[in-house]
Amino acid sequence: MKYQNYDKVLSDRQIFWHFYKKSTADVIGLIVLFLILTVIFVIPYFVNMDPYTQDITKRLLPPSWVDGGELRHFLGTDEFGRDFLSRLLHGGANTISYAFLATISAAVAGIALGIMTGIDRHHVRSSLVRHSFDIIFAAPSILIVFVVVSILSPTLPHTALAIAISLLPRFIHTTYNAVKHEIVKDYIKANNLDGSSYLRLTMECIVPNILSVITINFWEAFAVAVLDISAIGYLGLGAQAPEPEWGSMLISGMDLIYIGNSKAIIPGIAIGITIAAISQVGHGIGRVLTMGEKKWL
Amino acid sequence: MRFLLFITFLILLNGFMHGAAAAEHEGVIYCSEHALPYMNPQRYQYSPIASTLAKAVYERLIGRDNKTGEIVPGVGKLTRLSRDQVEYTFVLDKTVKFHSYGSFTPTRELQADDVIFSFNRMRDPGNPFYEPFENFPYITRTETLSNIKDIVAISPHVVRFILKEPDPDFLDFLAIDNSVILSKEYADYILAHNLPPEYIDYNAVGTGPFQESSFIRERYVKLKPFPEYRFDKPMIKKLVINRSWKINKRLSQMFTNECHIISNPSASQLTFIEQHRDRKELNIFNRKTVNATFIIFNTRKDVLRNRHTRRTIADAINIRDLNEAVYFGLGHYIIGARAGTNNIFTPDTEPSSEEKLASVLELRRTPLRISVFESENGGGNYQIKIAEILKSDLESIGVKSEIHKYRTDTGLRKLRSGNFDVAIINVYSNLESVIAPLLACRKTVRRRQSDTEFMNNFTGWCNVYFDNIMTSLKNRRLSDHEKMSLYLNARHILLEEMPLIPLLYSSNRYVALGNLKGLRTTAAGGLDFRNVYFDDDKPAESAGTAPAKTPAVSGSGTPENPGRTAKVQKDVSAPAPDKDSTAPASDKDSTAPAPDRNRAPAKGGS
Amino acid sequence: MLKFIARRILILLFVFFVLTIILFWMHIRLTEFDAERLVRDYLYFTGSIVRGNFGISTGSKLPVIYELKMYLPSTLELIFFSFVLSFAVGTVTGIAAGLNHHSVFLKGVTAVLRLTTSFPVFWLGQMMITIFAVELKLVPTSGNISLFCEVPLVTGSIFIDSLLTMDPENIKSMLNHLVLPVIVLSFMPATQFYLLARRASFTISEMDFIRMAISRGQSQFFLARKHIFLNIIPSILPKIKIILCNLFSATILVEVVFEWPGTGIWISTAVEHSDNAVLETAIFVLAIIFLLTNTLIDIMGEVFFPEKRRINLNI
Repeated sequence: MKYQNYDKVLSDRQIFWHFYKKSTADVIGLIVLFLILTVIFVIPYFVNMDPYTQDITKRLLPPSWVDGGELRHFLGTDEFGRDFLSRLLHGGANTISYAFLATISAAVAGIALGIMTGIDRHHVRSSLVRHSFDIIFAAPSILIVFVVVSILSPTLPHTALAIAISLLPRFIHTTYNAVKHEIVKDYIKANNLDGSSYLRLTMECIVPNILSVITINFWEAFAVAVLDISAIGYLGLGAQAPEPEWGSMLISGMDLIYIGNSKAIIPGIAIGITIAAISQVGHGIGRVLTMGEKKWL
Repeated sequence: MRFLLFITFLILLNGFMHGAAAAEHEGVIYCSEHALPYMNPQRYQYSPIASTLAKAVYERLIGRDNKTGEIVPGVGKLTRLSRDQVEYTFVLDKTVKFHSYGSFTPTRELQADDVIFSFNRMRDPGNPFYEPFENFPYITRTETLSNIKDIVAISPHVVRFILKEPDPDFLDFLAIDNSVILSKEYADYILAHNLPPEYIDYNAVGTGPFQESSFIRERYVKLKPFPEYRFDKPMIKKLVINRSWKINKRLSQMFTNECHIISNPSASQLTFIEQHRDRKELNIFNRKTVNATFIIFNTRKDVLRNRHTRRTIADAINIRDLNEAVYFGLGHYIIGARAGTNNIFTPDTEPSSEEKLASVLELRRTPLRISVFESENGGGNYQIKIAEILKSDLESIGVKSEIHKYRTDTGLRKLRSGNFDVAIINVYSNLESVIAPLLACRKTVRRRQSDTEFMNNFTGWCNVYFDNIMTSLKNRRLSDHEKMSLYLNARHILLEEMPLIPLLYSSNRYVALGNLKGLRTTAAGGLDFRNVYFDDDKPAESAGTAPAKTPAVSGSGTPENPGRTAKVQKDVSAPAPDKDSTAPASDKDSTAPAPDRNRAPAKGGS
Repeated sequence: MLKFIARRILILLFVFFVLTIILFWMHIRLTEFDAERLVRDYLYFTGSIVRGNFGISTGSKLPVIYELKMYLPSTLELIFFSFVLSFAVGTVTGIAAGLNHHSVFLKGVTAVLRLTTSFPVFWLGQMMITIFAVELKLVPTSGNISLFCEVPLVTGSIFIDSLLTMDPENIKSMLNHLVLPVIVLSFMPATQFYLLARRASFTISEMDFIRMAISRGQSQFFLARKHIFLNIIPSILPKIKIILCNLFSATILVEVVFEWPGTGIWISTAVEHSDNAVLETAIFVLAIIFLLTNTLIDIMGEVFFPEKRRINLNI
């Protein structure tokens, strides 16, 4: 008798991966994202990339494949002679890490609040708490960033704070809904009757089961955060000189569009590809995690 | 639903089909970065935009010829000056007509009452249109107005100004572009219709070649020719002065027929513009005003109190590289840089290495704060770029610094209260001496919301001897030799003490389309549109001969020719004795077609 | 259902109250802070805001309400046109995609659409300007109407105002300026509508009554129009809130890129020059608009597509 089939018990991770790679688009997205993160975060440790040193003699060099470019400055230099490739990578590091920071803080705070209001028996109280954040939910994220940035000064950390605030309500709402969905299930009632405290209930029962929702939400929010950070950088309210950041590099590139196109186009492409990769990966994760439920397209 | 979709598609398709340039020119659009708060030049400083408005929509009582300096008639003519120099009598031209606006139509020509009204509204608190002195920023001294005892109408066409004491600058005051003549009838009309008195500043009724068609504050001014102008009518059908939000787009708008003249393209666009100028598609006009940038030190701070530290910082700055990076090599040094070096010191003022060493050690203790201010008047974002370069230069000698950006009003407050270490200020000036007010011992009295407010001494340093030299330099009767020695003395003091570092200045420019002819610049740096026409438009009238009855007072700018060295009066740097081996930078005013700046930017060197 | 509506309105009032508190807090942070008269200041502040007295803009010295009347309708028309366009294009293609979900071509299209909407809208706008305006000279680079056209300010919306003048030159110029911003703005919401419509129509197409219709030989087009279109609305309706929100954010950026004189560029310059009156007013007005729209959509959703029916359809 062949019992081989039953020997192989796949771990969760393997199951996940097995289904994930069924869609080529998602796999490509994952590879691209991985590449981007590696290039931005890992490579600068090994290769010396200096986005700050100015060398005026080598201003405005075009990328090395165009006539007049140098190999040492692979993507050319900006108007101060700073290497464009290093600025791109450091800028990417700034953009992505602050966006990630914003998303994580929003996620932690939002999930906590969502769980708290979800477990709460007192209907009106939880409703009040949730709907006080409705303002933020209703208002477009850029407006919120304007408010925060005008009260505090325009710097990158403040922008990240503002974006975190604008992402908060969506986490609260989805977590709340998921918790409410979960809490009516029988096993919760069983646990409760057995006498487990709220904390235990949360940590052991609810959280593991709403994790999929949280993850999907997180990836969507992350893509939005990257877009918002670069949009605020574009408006000049984010990173200040000489910090590199993709959005502000884009707008200084517009200035130089008469001299060289590459400086204006490349940061935009970088932002686009990053966001595309993130959303594709998020979409793939969502697809896999909700496979049992309705048909996903 | 489908209907909606259909309509939307129709609209969009339609939108694409009515593209750009019309065969016949509808008019001229001048895109600038200037603020446009009013139509009335009285409410502006003496600035290019005020001059442009004044020349287009209004006229003055008298004018002053640029080249000869003589008084020429405007709507009036000076006929008599009393012996004690307190009574000025003018005879007015009888044929000057006012514009109509909205439902207001003038019933008479210009008379003495109008002249009296135009000046009384500035000096007589009893006049319903009176505004406090600060609201007429072009008048630099309160005495000018308070010295006027009375203005009387001897007859409907004769006006006499009676002063309390002789004022040698009084005629200048009357001749300046901003002193325009308003319509008393219009003022009465405003009062009769219970409109707010400021209406007279927002909706223009003047006597100039163009009349107002519409005006939206801070956005645009639309003008059309005034058919009853007593001299030749303008040849263009419409004139629009548009305030554009973003500087960079203006150049591309020139090629899509959305702008025909732009002011102050950013330095990075200049090479591109020059290429097109050589192809005769664009013209560049210099504006005779300068945007001068300085680095000023707060000498009250401990680290900067010692002049050696300041000189060391000045030594660390590579001024040639700054010129290349920020002004694309086209800036001019306020104090020339010596050939072979990258800073502004002369051999005898150069800091010694011991001095530098000691100062660097002291500077390294605390990071410096570099304050940068956003400039509302455009002129490029030079300050921030200079700040970045300064930071990098300081780092090369091991001194840490941080850049703080402030909006103009916050920044001014910080400057006045001494709350800064190093500040980069951009002074927008038409004055002969740009440095003197910045280091004056006596504070300037004016307090205005303007860039000239930066022309005050914030450094906390002053030297009476230096002040005296600056005042003597204003004297027009000095010989060149005397001027030179005074200048050298002043420069020596400056370089030894270094309370501020004079960097570069750039002349402000206009760029116009090649087929736009007849454009002139005024003394204040504004534009005179009265003779403008499009070359390819009306072959019959464009015969090139100037119209017979041009008013006598006009600017004297002409399109720039490469290689022509128009000397601008800049006294501190004028007799720059340091011969630069790298040609174009210091003396010449023109943008000489430099070697292809795209490729190998010339490094300052021997 | 009345209970639902009443509840939503109560929530709206509560949120409005929170909004005034937030605004007041912002006002205090930006101007002086007087601890004793706090409550009195708050009441005065809220009172003047509700009455429409928003103060004077420090940038242009005009009353803010005047500028608001100039700029707000201008933005609203951009949003309206892009919404209509993206809704139309998105749902139609989405329904088609949902019905033919096996097609590999459409799978590719979906992936490509996701890719293009990841690119930031301001960059996309700038690129389109460079291509269509500067190179091809089909459309102008900025503004909402040619500067030579005289259009008196009636409603603030350039579309309506230029139609009112009945002058074909004005209308042509206005359309010419309207095209590119609307198209650029429509990319993102069109894709979102496409995805939503695709999923919903796929769900519906699995249902029996559709299968019956197909087996009877109904054409796809007829199906789409008669059966599917109205049935996907309940699933799309709640998402419209989010789409509108994102649309507005994108509008601010597009206005800056195209120099379209609307609320976006107004607020943007106000933030740069710290013009507090404008900022507070804009936030207040826009928040109110969004809250009202959200509530309205919720109510509409509940009125037309109540919960019971939705569960039955398993949408």
